[in-house]
Amino acid sequence: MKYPTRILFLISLFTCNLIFSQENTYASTLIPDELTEDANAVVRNSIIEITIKGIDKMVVYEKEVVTVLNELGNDDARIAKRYNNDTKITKLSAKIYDALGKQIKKYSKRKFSDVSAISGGTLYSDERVKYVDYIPVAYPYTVVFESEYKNSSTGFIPRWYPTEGYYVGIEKSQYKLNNPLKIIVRTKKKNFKNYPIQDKSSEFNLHYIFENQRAIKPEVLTIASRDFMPYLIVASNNFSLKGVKGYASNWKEFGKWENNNLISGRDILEPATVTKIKDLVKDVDNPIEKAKLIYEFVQNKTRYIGVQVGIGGWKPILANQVDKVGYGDCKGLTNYTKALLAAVGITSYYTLVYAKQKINIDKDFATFQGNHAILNIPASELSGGNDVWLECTSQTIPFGFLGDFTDDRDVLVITPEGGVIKRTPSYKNETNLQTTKATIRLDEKGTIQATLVRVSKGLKFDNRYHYDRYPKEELIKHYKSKVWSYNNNLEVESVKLKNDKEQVVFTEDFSISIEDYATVTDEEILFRVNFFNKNSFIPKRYRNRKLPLQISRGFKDEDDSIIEIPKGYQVETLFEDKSIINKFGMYQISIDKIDEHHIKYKRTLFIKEGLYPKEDYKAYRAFRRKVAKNDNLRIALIKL
Amino acid sequence: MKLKLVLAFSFVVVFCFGQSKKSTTMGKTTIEELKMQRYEKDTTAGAIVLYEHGNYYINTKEKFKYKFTTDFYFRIKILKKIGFDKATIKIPFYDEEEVHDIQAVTNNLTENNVMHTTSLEKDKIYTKDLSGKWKETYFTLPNIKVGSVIEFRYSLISPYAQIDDWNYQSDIPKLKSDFTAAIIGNYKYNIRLVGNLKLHRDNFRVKNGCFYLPGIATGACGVLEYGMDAVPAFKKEAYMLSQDNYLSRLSFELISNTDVRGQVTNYTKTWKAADKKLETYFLSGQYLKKRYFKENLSSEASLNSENSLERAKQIYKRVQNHYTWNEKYWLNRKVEVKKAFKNKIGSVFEINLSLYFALQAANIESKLVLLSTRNRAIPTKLYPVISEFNYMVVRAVIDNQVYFLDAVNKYLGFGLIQSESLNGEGRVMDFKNGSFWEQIKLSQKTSKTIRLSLLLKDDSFVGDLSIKKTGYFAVHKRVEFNGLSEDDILEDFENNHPNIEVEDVALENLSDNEKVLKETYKITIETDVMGSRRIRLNPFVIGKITENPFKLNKRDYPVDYGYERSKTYLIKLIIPETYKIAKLPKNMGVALPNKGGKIIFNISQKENTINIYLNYSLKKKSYSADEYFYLKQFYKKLINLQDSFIEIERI
Repeated sequence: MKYPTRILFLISLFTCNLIFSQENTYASTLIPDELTEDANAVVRNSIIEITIKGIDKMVVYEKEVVTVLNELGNDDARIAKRYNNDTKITKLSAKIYDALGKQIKKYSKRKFSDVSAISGGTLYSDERVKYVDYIPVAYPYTVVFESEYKNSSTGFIPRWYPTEGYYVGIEKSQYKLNNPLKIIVRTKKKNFKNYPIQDKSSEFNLHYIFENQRAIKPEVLTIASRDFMPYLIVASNNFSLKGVKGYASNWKEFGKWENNNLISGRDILEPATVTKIKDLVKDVDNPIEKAKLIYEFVQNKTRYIGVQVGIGGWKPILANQVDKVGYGDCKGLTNYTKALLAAVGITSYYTLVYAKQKINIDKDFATFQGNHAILNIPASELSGGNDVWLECTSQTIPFGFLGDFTDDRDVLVITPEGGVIKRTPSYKNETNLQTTKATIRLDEKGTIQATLVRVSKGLKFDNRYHYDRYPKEELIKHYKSKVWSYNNNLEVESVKLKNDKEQVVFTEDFSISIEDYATVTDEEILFRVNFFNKNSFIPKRYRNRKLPLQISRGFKDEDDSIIEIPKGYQVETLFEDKSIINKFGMYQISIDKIDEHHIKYKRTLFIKEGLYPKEDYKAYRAFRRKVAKNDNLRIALIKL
Repeated sequence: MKLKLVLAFSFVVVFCFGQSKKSTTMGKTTIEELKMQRYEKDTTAGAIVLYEHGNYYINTKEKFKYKFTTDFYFRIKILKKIGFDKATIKIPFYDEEEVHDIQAVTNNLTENNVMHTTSLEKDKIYTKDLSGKWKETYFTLPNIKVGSVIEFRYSLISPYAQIDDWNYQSDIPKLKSDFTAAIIGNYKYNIRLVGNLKLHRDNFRVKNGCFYLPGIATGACGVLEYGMDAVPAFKKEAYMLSQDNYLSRLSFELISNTDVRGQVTNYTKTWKAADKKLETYFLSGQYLKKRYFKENLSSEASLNSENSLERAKQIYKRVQNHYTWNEKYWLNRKVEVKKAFKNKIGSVFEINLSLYFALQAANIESKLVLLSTRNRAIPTKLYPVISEFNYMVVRAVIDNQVYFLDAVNKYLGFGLIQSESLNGEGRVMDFKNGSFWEQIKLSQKTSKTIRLSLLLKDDSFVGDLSIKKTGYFAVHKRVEFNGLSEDDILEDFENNHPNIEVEDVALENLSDNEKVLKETYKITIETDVMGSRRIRLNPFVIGKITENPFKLNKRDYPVDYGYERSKTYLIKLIIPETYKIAKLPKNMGVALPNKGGKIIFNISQKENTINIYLNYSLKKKSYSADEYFYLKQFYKKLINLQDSFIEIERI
């Protein structure tokens, strides 16, 4: 039996060589070494070619050749194409090659699975996806994925992100736009200058080539990828969106088109509702107070449910429809609130924004942007000269508070006169204040009994105000396992929450016990003096930091504790005050003796928002390390 | 979701018995229900089911393609905003099943205490694809407020004889829950009540002449009415086995079906019958398969070892490396091994059946073992329910030793099975002498040994750290390390231990699953020394438990870890000559009741060297709700111990 095996082996090796010489283009051995460094996948060749055949006809051809180097790279070579009622996929195929460049699998269009692609938070949409679930049996392997589709909406000309993401090396990536009708097309090239991108564009056609880019590793506490990786946005002045045509060369024109085609006329209400709303606000004069009542009315009446079909992805459902069913998505609820405000004579504007990730609407480049809608009540004397911003999808957020979901970014306010770029309020530094005051009694067994009041403002409020929706058991579990997980045996004996939406202040009033908090020995009692606000965050160590340090938003914590120590004990030594003040913020602690039985612990941690060169990362890490270390400080009580 | 395996043949039946009339109709909401503000027995509930009713019968309406029908009715009170998600209704259905006659309304109380009803509009009912042949029809009710009472009904029409489980218990409490059915006499089911709760309504009677087949026969029906009142919400706990073991529900298993000509098809009445069925699923064409594997595997030189254990290990490794698991389990049908082997991709059943055939080909005594994964209920022992199994391993007997083998995961050692399948006993398929239940025995212990040798100098510890892992600890680490370079591993280690700086990493036996996985690090640790005369040192610089996994004061269900585990520390600390040891923590021993585990801690000093030994082990797979308190204390003591200090003083 031994002989045939060996012969078979020789033959197969030979065959491999043969195939290798025929179809070697996809062999993974041909990838330059430097592109595989830190890479899970390498884009061998990526082409996106767009042909604008008319204002409502666009053909997009895409070819992506990706070599996956290991299991973590599978996501970089997903074979999937999303589509909707507006898109017609005309070509679709995928081929898989092994490490030597030999084709091992082929999928034609009909082999693709086709399923609904309704994302979380949306009840229904017409989005679908055609995909192949390829299970790799060996690495590396190469995927060649080709597709072509027609789209009748030219509002969204595909963008180009040539670096693709992190841990991906790029051998070659191209973007081409063919424009035979010579339609005016605008482009915005972001972060191009730091990368070797060849521009072969002519007057109306676009062509960019990007080659030999090493994989980029992500780093923590830094700027977002869109702030340093290159990308291209393209828009045509004449466009079409789900059958509606438009023209816009700037935000004013774009906003006007949006207003006329998507917003205007959507705010009609039933007369009964108008009467009800007028009745609701009849006793107040101040329009801001009126708006508050209406906002609360919306919060009590509605919930967030998204249904997006066709242009419904951009056009809000009618206000009277929301009134009838009591739900809507961000567009529908924003438009509904706007309609109710209009019914009592308050002007407000529908506003588009990027939510969650802090991204600006590009103020110099008018095209479809944003992923969320909020409402803007323009500044007036009564509002104290400030714009009022309303998040209409939350049933609990206070009037005029945005939180970190949509704070501090450029947004597009749509007025009947056109689009205007405004900036939402920011929550920075001391605004995000948490103060904790505790009275703690420590007994000779090491058990503590404490009363504690924690007051949260700004984004600290934002993190906590939803606590009042938790059922009691859940809430207590949350304190035990999330907030104070480092305090074993902690029992929350009582907790009172106060959500002051008027002042945007959240107050938690606790009675807490911790059995065996301190370590008791024959001669002493040892315990961590920072009982309730231990910050152990230390950012990752980099031997070779590449990107700048960014601290977003910032916060300030102030803690005051009075600790009653058991009779027959005294503090071992008193500590010198500790104070670190630097450009990143401040950390101060002091431990003082009040009398024979009481000591006082004071702590301030202040972290400042800021952007610093990469060289500062090490110093910031050292700072946080000192904070973590000092927050773990233990003191000893000596038995007399 | 249960597998819908038995497709019923179609037959003409005239049903004379008005079971469909028993279905609950819409419009039952009362003003009192609308006025209700809280549920005293559970004030945390976001919503409560006021009444729900499932009614199963054979439909005689011509418009329906299939006859097996269940009419569902629900009336739910929304008590809090967190209960709003109960107003979005999801109805999953399989392949050829159909959902019909959806009606839904929201009732609210107006300011004048009048009921105001809003109906669901038909165009707001949607259907989408789930995985495989499953789909889902769903909708959300309009006008939901705190205080709303929603009512909805629908019919599920099915070509399958399988009756779905009726869940009396769910994540919200229920006032009343009923399941009624008229089951045609030629279909026989095992009906089982799962969970600890008792039925409040429990009627079963046989009704003769309840249907008739034109020109053939008349037949009897089993008419049943099972109901429960005041059902509490089910609350999940950490380290709990699948909630399906405890959720109160009614479960139906088809035993047999007699067709119009009196031909009986038996499904799963006895283990004897089940064994036979499973034998055809797995072994038909066995001769061919055996030969196939003989040709493909056993011919290789290394597999021809005289030593059976060696041979079995080689075959195991060969199959394990050959396959990539497609994350699929068992689809309850015939398993096609040959194709899977050729493509090198397979489901659990295809991979482990290949292993079985390969072992057979190499003359290793082996049997198939059926199991169910931990996210599902442990299979019942009352009678065979084939669809409850979704996992298969191989039981090999080598030199009188029993080994359970699983080639699905590339990182498993010989004699371990994927931890997700450690769920109760396995059914060993002895096709000759009849199958039997057997406890799964693991041939490798799961342990971790941390050895530290540290020298204190200039405010920091320098020295060596080695971590040895066996069993599942090693499996998990091998999975984690897969695809990472040594640099990545070093970076991750430092990231997880911000106070430790690593100079050098070395890994041993990363790709040899049969050997102890060893990580070695050259480390520097900055200490918490605050420059004082007296210094406190915590010797457990890595891997210590800081958080008690058990925080709740009471426990309803057992804690199930799946496998035993043990951890050991061997620490050697050398302090500078200029210091003397002032104080050491005390030696300690703790034991859990019923030999459930122990903590042993020894510390000793010799001149300037301190030696520490700590071992703690959990010797049981599962701890009862009564043992929970001891387990919680066990962790508490362990945490306190690992948090204790050595004190040294400058001379």
